[in-house]
Amino acid sequence: MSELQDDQSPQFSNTQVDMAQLAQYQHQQGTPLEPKYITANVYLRIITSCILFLIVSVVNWQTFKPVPEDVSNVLDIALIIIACLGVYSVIFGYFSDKAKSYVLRECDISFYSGVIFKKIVIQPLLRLQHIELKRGPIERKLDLATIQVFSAGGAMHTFELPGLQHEQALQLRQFILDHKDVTTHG
Amino acid sequence: MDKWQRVAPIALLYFFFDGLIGSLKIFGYSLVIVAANLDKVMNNKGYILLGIVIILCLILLSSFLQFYFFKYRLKAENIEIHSGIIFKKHLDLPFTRIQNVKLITPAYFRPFSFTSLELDTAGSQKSEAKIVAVSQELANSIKQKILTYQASHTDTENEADSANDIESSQEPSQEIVLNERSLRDLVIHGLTNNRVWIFLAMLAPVADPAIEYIIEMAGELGVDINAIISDPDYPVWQLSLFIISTFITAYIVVMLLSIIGSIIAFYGYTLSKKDNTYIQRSGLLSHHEVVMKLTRLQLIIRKQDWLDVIIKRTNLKFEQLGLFTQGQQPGIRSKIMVPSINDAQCNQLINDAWPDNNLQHAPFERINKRYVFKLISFLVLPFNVLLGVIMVQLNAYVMLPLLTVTFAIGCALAYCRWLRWGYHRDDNYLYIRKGLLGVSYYCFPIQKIQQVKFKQSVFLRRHHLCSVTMVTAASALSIPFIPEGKGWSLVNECLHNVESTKKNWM
Repeated sequence: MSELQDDQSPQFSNTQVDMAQLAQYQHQQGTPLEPKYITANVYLRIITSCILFLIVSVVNWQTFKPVPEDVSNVLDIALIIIACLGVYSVIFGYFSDKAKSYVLRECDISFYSGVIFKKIVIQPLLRLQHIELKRGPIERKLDLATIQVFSAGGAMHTFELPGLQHEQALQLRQFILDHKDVTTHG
Repeated sequence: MDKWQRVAPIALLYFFFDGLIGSLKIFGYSLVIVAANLDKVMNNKGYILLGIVIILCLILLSSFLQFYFFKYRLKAENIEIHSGIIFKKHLDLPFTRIQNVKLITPAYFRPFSFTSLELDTAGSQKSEAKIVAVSQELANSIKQKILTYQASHTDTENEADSANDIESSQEPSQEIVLNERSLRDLVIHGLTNNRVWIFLAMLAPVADPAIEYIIEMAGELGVDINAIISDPDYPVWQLSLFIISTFITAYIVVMLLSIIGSIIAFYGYTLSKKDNTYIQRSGLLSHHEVVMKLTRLQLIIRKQDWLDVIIKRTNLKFEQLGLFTQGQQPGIRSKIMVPSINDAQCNQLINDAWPDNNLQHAPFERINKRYVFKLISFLVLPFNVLLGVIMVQLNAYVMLPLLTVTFAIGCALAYCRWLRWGYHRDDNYLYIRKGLLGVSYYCFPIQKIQQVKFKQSVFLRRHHLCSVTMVTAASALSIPFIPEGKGWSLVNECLHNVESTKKNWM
C-alpha cells in the first residue's frame, strides 16, 4: 500500500486537502435540486391524487349500476384515506424534495436527503461501473434529467441524482467520465 | 479448437433432464387442479398415459434439436456459443469478462466422466454461458486456458497483483489442499445448521401443492387436538406428553433431514489453493466446483449458530460479487463456504487469504445502549400488543399474564442482540460483529468499499448518534447507533482510504 501511495503522491496531497476540510464536511452546504423539479413534483403528486380520488368517487357515486351499501361504506372510507394520503404526500413530498441536495467533490459525489431520517449517500467516483442519464417525458418537457451512477454494490445501491438541468447533467456526466480515477480504473 | 463444434452426444441426457424438470415444475403447479378433479382423472387413465407419452416424446425431440443447434467455438481471446431452436442465441464472450468458471457434474454424467462448464459473466443472469457435456479433460483444459489468459491480461493493470503472480509463476504452480471435511464434520454441520432447504429446493416443483397438503393435514390435526382438549377424560399430563413427544419427533426428523442435506451438499469437500485462486469441490449427487480468485474476494464471514458457539465450530464464508447469485440456490454456488471447522483451522484460512487482518484479536467496540430501547419499542412492544389484542379477541383472558413472560423474553433477546453488536477498524480492514444467540463476524478491506451511507433520524440526532452503512460488492453492512463523531470519522477515513490508495477492488 505504501508504495502505491508513493507513486501517486500528487494524488495523495489532493485528498489530504479534503481531510483538512473534514470538520466542515458534515455542515457542508449542498447544491439544492432545481426549483422547477420541485414544483413539477408537487403538481404531479396533486394530479395523481386527484385522478385516484376521481376514479374511486366515480365508482362510488355513478348511477348506472349503484354499488351495494357495504361496498359504498368501504369506498367512503377509502376516499377519506386517499384524500389524507394525497395531502400528506404533497406536503411531505415538497419538504423532502426541498431537503434533497448534492455535493460534488474532487473524488466523490454525495446526495443528501431526508426530513426526519437524514441520509447521506457518498459514492467515490473511483468505484463507478457505468453512468446513465435518464429522462422521462415530463423531464424532457422541462429540460431536466436524472443521473444514475452504478457501482459494483448492486442495483439496490444505485446512486441516483434527480432534478438536474439537462445541460448541467451532461456536464456532470462528462466530469465524472473524465475523472482520472474512472479513466484509469474503469 | 477454433472450429465450430458440437458437444458430446451425452448432452442429449442433459437437455432431456432439463426439459423434464421444466415440465415437472409446470406439472407441480397444476397438481392442485389435478387433485381437485381426482375422480375425473381416474376415469381417463388412457388419455393421461397418452398425454405423458406425448410430452416425453416432445421433450426428447426438443432435446435432440437443442443438441443439434448447440455449437461452440473457442478462439484465442473469446468463446462463442450458438444455441436455441426457434429463438437463436448467439453469445460472444471475451475471456476477460468471465468472472468465474464452474464445473458442475450432474449425477447422470458421473459414470461417463463428462461434466458441464458454466461461465459467469459480469452481466445479467441471461448472458450466463454454459457448455453442457464436455469431457472432464477438455473442461479442465478450457478452464486452464481461460484462467491463464486472465492471469496474463487483467493483472497487468494492478502492479501488486502482477508482482505476486510473477513470484508464484516462478515456482511450479501446484494445487495445495487447504481443507477437507470428513463425514463426521458434515454430520456436525447438519446438526448445528439447518440444511433442510436443500430438500426444499429439490421439492420446489411440488412445493406449492405439498404446502397446501400440509396445511390441510394440520387442519385435520387441529380438529383432533381440539377434541382431545375439550374431552375432560384426558388428563393434562397425557396431553402435554403428547405435545412434547410430537415436538421431539418433528425435531428429530428435521435434524435427520438436515444431516442428509448437509452430506448431499458437502460430501467429499475439499478447498484447495492454486497460485492465487481458491477452488472448492463438493457434492454427493452433483459435483460442484467453485473457482474464486483471491483478488475477487470481497468479504469474509465467520458465522456461528448458537449450537456452533457451544461446540466451538465455525462456518467460514468467502464472498465475492453478490450480483450473480440472484435466482440461484442461495449460498452454495458462487460463494466459497467451509462448513463446521474449528477455530484454529478458521484462523489459518482467514490469515491465508488476508495475512494482515486481525479478526481474531480485534478489540470490538460496543454500539450505544439506546439500541436496546429501539428494538423493544419497535419490535418487542408491538409484537406483545398484537399478541394481547389476539388474546382479548379470543376471550383468552387467562392467558394475559403470559404477556409478561413473552415481554421479558423479548427484552432479553433485544439485550442479547445489543451485546453481540460490535465494530472495529484498523488501517486496512473493517470488522463487524453481530448476532442474536449465534454470532457472525464480518471482515472486509476498506479499499474494497463501493459506497458509503450515513443515516441519522431526528431521535438519533438528539442523542448525537448515527448509523453508517458500508456497501461492498458482496453486500451492504450497517453499523447502527454509534456516536456521531465516530460515525463521521469512520465515513471520512474510509472514503479517504478508498480515494487515496486507489486500489483495485477486483
